[in-house]
Amino acid sequence: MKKGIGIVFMLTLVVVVASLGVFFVEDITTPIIEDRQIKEVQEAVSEVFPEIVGTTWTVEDYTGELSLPITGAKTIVDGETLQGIVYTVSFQGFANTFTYVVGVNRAGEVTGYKTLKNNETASSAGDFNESETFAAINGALLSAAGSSFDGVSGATYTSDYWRTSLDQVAEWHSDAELFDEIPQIDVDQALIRSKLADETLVLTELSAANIEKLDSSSIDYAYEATGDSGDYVVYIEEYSAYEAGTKVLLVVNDDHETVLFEVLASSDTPDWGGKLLTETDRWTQLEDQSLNFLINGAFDGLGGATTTYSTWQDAMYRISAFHQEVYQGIITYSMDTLVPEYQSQLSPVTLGGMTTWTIASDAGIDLTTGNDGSGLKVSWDNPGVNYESITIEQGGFNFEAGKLYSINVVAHSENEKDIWVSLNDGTEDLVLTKLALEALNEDLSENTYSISYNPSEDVNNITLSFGLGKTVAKEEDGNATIVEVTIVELVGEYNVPDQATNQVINSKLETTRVIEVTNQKYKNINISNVFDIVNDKGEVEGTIYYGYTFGTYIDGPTMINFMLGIDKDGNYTGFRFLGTTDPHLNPSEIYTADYEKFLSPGYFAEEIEGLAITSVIDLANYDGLELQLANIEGAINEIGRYHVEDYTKRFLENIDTDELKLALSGSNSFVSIYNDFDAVDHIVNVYEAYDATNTLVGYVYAGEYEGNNSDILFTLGVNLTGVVTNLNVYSGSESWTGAGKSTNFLDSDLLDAFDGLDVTLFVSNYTPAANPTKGGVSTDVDAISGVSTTTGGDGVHFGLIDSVYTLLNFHEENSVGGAE
Amino acid sequence: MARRQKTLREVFTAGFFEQNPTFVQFLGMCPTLAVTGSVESALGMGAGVAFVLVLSNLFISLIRNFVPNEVRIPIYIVVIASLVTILEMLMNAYLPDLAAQLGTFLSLIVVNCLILGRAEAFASKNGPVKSMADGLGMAIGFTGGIVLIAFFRELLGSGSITVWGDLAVQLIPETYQISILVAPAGAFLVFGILVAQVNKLKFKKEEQQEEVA
Repeated sequence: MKKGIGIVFMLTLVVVVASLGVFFVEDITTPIIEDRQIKEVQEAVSEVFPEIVGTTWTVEDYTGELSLPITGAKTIVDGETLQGIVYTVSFQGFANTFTYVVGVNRAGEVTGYKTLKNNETASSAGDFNESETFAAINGALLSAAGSSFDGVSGATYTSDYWRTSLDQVAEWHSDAELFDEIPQIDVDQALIRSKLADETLVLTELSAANIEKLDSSSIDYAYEATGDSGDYVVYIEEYSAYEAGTKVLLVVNDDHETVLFEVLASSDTPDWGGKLLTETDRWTQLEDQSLNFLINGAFDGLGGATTTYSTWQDAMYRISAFHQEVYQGIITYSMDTLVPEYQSQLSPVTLGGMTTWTIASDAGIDLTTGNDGSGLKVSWDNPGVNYESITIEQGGFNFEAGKLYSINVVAHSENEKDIWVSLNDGTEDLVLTKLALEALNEDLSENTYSISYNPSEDVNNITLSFGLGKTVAKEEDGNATIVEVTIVELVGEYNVPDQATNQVINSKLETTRVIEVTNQKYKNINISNVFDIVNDKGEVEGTIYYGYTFGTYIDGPTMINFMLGIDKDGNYTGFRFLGTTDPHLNPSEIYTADYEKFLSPGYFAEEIEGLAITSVIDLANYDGLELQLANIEGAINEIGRYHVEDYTKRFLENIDTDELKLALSGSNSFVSIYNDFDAVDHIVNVYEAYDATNTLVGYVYAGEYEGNNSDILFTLGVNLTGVVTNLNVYSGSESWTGAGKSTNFLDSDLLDAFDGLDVTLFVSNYTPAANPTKGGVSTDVDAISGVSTTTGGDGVHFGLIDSVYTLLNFHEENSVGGAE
Repeated sequence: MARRQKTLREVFTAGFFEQNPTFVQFLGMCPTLAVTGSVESALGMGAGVAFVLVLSNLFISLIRNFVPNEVRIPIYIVVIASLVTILEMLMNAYLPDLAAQLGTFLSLIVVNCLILGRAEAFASKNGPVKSMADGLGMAIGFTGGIVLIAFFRELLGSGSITVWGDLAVQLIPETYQISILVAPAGAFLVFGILVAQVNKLKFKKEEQQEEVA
């Protein structure tokens, strides 16, 4: 017992004495350690927030609540403005507490970093004490700084803990919202002062009008800057290059020369486009260059990084064009501007205008009822129906699904009659409604009444009819007058008409439009694209061709691109240059890329405009441009020929369903898919064939070729396994028996020879003729002597065998239905 | 026959060579290998060990007659741990750079078996003066050992000797430096070579003594 007490006593005594000793030393050392740490933090503030040096800014303790790992915060204050904050951060490293300070400015960027306490193993974690280790995070956004840190090799855990701690600081910083939002101009002013080394520079916003132009040029920021070093215009543009997030700075002096270009940010491939773009030395070529240099985009050093280069060129083009227009009065139109303007100019009708279809003149047509035999008679022998159709009707309207149409009717009625309108597809009324409600017990006053129609599916060949209705109270004769009817498609912003009151619609109308139909056209070496001008009824009012031809050959071919308009009567509406790489044509007086020059007549007007496309264009000569003008003449004449001979082939010929069915047994209905492909000679149409259950069973081609005595028309079926099902020639009067054959052409064995052919094998076994106007030779179907013009396949004449080959080769080449 | 008491001088000098903690007794291997990357660190560790060893020997010697045998080891640990804590606080207050350099190994002096070993083997059986002499001698021997290792590692590994702080003397050009010696593996290599040399000298001396006898 005594021994036990002695043990306890001794242990207690030793512990107490030891504790007192530790307490005594701690009492002495703690203030020293704290003072030193405070001093270290204060010294570190200057180190990690160097902007404070040389200013009157003060450092104050942040008194708000902090959360770990932030153990302290010093605010840097300029008067009442918070300029920055320095966080002291402590976290548990691999073995010991790790402490650092990190500075953050108003923009949320890291201004500096310093490790204060790192008791981890020096051999592995010593690099945490080196400022070079954290070079990557300086200037980075605090929120992204953690991911910018590569870590310290050999100190993986501590590196991870470090990143986590900084992310936590960033999260706290973001949540705390310590800083007022800095006006963008202040941020940019600080940037420009730094870049131009002129602290006196003051940035001002552009005028409101110019800001509007800036927006239309899709340029993010532009300022006018004035300072001791001069006057400038500063442009900052963010755009997507190969990757999103490229940000460039361009500064132009008052001589309109570039004085500074710098890539402020780029996320493009670091070893390729990103490197090419961000290397400062690369851009010395821009110094003191005029903005034309930028617009022309003749730069060295970005070859290969195609997207990086082209997007950069585009950004420079937009900035340069804006600057030249606003500050130099030089307007450079982009294709985005020129194309719609030229389309409008070359269109024979006003684009976007309302096309009016008048079914009644101003004098009106009386929808008169009565029993005298005159006018339009309405009988009342069906009391269950409160309207009667009258003979004023117009058919052939096509309405597209999802679009909103307005049927506007100028009309009036007498004797308390109301007017009904219907849209009928031949089997039922899709729309049947009264024109106005106020006619219930009174005359319908002359006004414009509108009803809207919004079909859920395409409907074609619709008949518009009007009827005169009786009122409940007055079942006696009356009359009405339809003065004018218009049907318009409503696009853009519009007010949906109130069906209950039939308010007149106040709409933005755009019914005549440009539709690209390139894919429906036969290819032509001078034509890149074809656009039709189509009114709201689907009628083609004209056509605009995008053409091209060669210029002079200088170290390679040069190109001349243009637009050519043709009206529905076959007359040229005009010619416009779209661009050229020809170095002689470009600066000449006959070349222009200014659509405003065409607002008054004269530009090629006498030589092209109004001439029939069958005319041979002969442009006036200009010295030094003979070759270019000759090529342009040739291209225009070729497009004129094309328009006469090939353009019309785009209008698909609908083949009688019975002839289609004969080509593919079991087929029941057909859907044309030819418009999905480029048209090919000898192919009239291409159909998907469906059986009675609406299941795809194959494809039917409609073909044609010129036989010996007639045009041969035929249909050809191909099933889903790529086998020809039947060749059905349904038109053709060949002198088959006259050529000594026992049966006529339409009953000949030749036609049966195609049945069951494997499409792939037939195509591969066919040898096309070297001369494309001649037929080739097939080893699957033999040509028949004596009627070679009809049959073809002999390598000399183009006949049935060659025409079938054309169809089946189309099937293979275009992978119709997945054909390989 | 009663065993002859060692003189104070013999006690003090025993740790220098004959019972050198580093090369003969192989005590305190952890800091021996870990902090011998530079002479400066080795000196700092040696000083810290000396502080703790001398004072722990003193205090344990003073209380040796009052400490029950059953709890002597815990009491020794309490004393040593307290001294290490005090050492840490003092170094953090007055030698913060050295404290940062030694890092976690400063705290690990607590478990340095040299200190507990001398407390158990010597201080608990001898008076305060001799115990302090033993502690100081052993600390000098320990410091000498790790400084010697650090000297070769730093000199041959990095080509320079850091005298204090940023003051370093570059002696070997980079081309001739043996960089592995700065790495942890280098500590084993240098330690092994020096132990071999110490044993060689020791055996040679013993052979000479046998020949004389």
